[in-house]
Amino acid sequence: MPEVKIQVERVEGIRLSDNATEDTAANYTVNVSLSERKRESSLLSLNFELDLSGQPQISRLLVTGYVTIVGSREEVQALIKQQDDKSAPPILVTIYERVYGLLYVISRDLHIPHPMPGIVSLPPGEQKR
Amino acid sequence: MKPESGMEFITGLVRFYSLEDMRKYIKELLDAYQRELDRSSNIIGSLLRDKGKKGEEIIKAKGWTKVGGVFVNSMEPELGSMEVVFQMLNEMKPRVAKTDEVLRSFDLVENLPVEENCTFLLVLRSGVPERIIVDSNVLQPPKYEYAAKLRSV
Repeated sequence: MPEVKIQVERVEGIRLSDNATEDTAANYTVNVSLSERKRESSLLSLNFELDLSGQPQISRLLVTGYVTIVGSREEVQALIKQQDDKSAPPILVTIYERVYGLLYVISRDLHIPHPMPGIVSLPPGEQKR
Repeated sequence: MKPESGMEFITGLVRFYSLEDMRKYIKELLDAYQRELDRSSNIIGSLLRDKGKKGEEIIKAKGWTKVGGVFVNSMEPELGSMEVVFQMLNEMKPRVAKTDEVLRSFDLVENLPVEENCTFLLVLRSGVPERIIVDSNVLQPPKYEYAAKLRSV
């Protein structure tokens, strides 16, 4: 069983509209990036950035940090490999699940709608950043 | 289960993506062995000072009985433990010396001509680095990058 440690380094929450409340209907798009920080045969450390933008543009949340995976080469590979073009790598889902509580609390404090607890890929037509 | 005294020694192969990482690993091994050697030496040293005697005359427990495949001592547990620590101390010295020798001459390994992106297997026997296999069949993986636009649901 691989060990996954997440270190959050920066969290930002921005309320972009005076009219926003926790109950405002909004969807969040999540621009994500993972980049290699350090790699050994049984360890992989990745920098991560999750940039969540509320649609309509009433809020923005940003979390950055790094994740360290310790396990066999096969276990590490299984966590970073996408099952198909549409799915996110499992490690990203784990990161999102672990930082979700933080995003929820910040959203409540800023009185903006909170993002939903899961993430899925956008259809190909909406992928352009 | 962690040992109460002594340490665990790897017998097997450990893969590295660079010789620099392997050097760091061997250095960490050596430091750990050195710490264990110092710790055991201190324990034995303080026992000998307390008893005012020398070497093996004090670190020789009575009451060892062979039971099946192992020796059992229920008569002198403290001295029995010390005897074992003393033995382990003597076994640790050549381990430290050999690991230190490997590390000191590691420049020679680093100067060997090797294929780009190959990986390296360090062969350890009871914690002592014995061999290095340059593996050009298992290559270093490319640098991992991922970027996408997702939606929270």
